[in-house]
Amino acid sequence: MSNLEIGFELAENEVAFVDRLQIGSEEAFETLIHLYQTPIYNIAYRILGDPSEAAEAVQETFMKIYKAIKSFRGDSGLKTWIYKIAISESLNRHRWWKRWRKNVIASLDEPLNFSENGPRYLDVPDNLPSPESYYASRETERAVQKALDKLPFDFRIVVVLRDIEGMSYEDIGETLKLSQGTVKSRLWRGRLELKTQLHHFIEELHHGPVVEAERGRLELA
Amino acid sequence: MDCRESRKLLSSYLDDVLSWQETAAMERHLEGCLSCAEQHREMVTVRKLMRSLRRMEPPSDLALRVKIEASKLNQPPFAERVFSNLGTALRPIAIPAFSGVVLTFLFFVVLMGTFLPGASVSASDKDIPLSLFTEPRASSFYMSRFVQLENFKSLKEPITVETQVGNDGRIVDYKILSGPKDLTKDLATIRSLNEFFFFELYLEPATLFGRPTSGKVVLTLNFCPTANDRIDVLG
Repeated sequence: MSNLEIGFELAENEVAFVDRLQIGSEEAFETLIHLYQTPIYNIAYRILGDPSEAAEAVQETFMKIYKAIKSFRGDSGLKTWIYKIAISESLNRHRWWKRWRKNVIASLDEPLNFSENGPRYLDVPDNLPSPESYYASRETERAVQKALDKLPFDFRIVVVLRDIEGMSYEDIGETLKLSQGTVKSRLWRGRLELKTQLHHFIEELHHGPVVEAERGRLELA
Repeated sequence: MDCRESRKLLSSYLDDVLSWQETAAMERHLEGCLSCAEQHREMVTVRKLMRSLRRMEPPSDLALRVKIEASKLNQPPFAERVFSNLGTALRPIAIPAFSGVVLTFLFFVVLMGTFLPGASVSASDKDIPLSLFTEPRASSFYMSRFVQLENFKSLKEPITVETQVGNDGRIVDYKILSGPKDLTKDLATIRSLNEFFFFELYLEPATLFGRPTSGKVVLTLNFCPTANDRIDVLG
C-alpha cells in the first residue's frame, strides 16, 4: 500500500488509528513515522536551514509524540497536533541557535550550515507528468533558503506553512494558535520581507533572459 | 482604492481571501497603477519560488533511529524487573502454607533473579539485534499440590526441554531434548510434565521493541530431593 493510500484510509479511520497508537501498537507507530517523517522534516528544514539539525528535530518530535500520545484527547486533529509538536521543537532549536550564534559567530549573514554534503532532494522521475510544476535550480534553492533564514521566526513559519506546505489559513491558525487576522498580517509581512531579500534575484528573473533550471524552465506569468 | 490600501491587501489578494468588492477594487487599481502592478508581480514570483522548492527527503535511517529510541523507553530498569518478578512470584499460589516451602521458594526466586539476566539462554531462531529483542525468561515457578511430585522423585537425570513461549508468558508447546531413557513411555510423568509446563510454569515473555511476543527458551528440570521437595528450573 502506498503512503498516499494509507493517508486516505487514515483520514477516515483516525479514531481507530489513534486508539492503536495509544495502546502501544508498534505497527501503528511505524506507520505514523512513515506518514509524517517527510512533511515534518521539510518544515524543520525550512525553519532551521540545516539538514542534520532538521533530522534531530524530527527524531525529537517523534519521541515527544511517542511519550505524549496517551494523553492526546482528539480536540484537534492528529495532523495538527503532530505539526504543533514539530514546529515547537524546531522553534526551540532555532532559539537555541540564535542565542548561541550571537555569542560565537561573527558574521550574522551566513546561514547555519554544518553539513558537508548538501541537503538531500527528493528525486522525481522524468516521466512523471507535471505540466505546471517545475523545480528550481540549486542556485535558486540556496537564494530562497538564505532569504528564509533571514526572516524572523514568526513570519518564517507562516510562509513555510502556507507557501511550502500549502496549509489553509484556518489550519495555520489552529496549528499556531493564532487568529485569522494575525495569520494574514504575518503572511503579508513575511512575503514582503522575502520579496525585499530576493529583490535582485527577482529582477534578474523578470528582466534577464529566461533562466535554464536543472529540471525544466523557470517560466514567469 | 489607493496604493497604500492596495499594498496592504496584496498578500490576501494573492490567496484569494478578499471579499468580492475588495477583489474588484484591487483589480481595477492594478490595471491602472504600474508600481503596484510590479509589486504584485514580484510577490507572485516569490510565491512561485517558494512552491518550486524541492521536497526534501529525510535521512534514510531516520525511521529506524526513532524506532530504536522508542524501544529503549520500554525497558524498565533492571532492579525494577527483579522486584516485579518477586512480586508476581509472591502472588497467591495454590500450595499449603508450610513455612518450609515458602522459605525455599523465596530463596530460589531471589537466586533466579540474580542468575538469569546473565545466563546464556539459547538464542531464538530469529536473527535480530540483541538490543531490540529479549528472550523469554523463567521468572518464577509454582509448585502446586496438583502436580504429582511422586513421579518426578524417580528422575535420576535432569530433563532438558525446548519450550515455545507465547506472548503472555505461558508455554504453548515443548520438546524434550534430553532426559532419562523411556521418558516418553512414562505416561504418568509426561502427564505431570504437561501439567507443570502448561499450567504451572509462568515465564516472562520475549519482547520485540519492548512489546511482548512469542519466543523459545531451553529449560532444564532438575529434581532435587530435599526436605521441602521442589523443582529447580534452570534457564
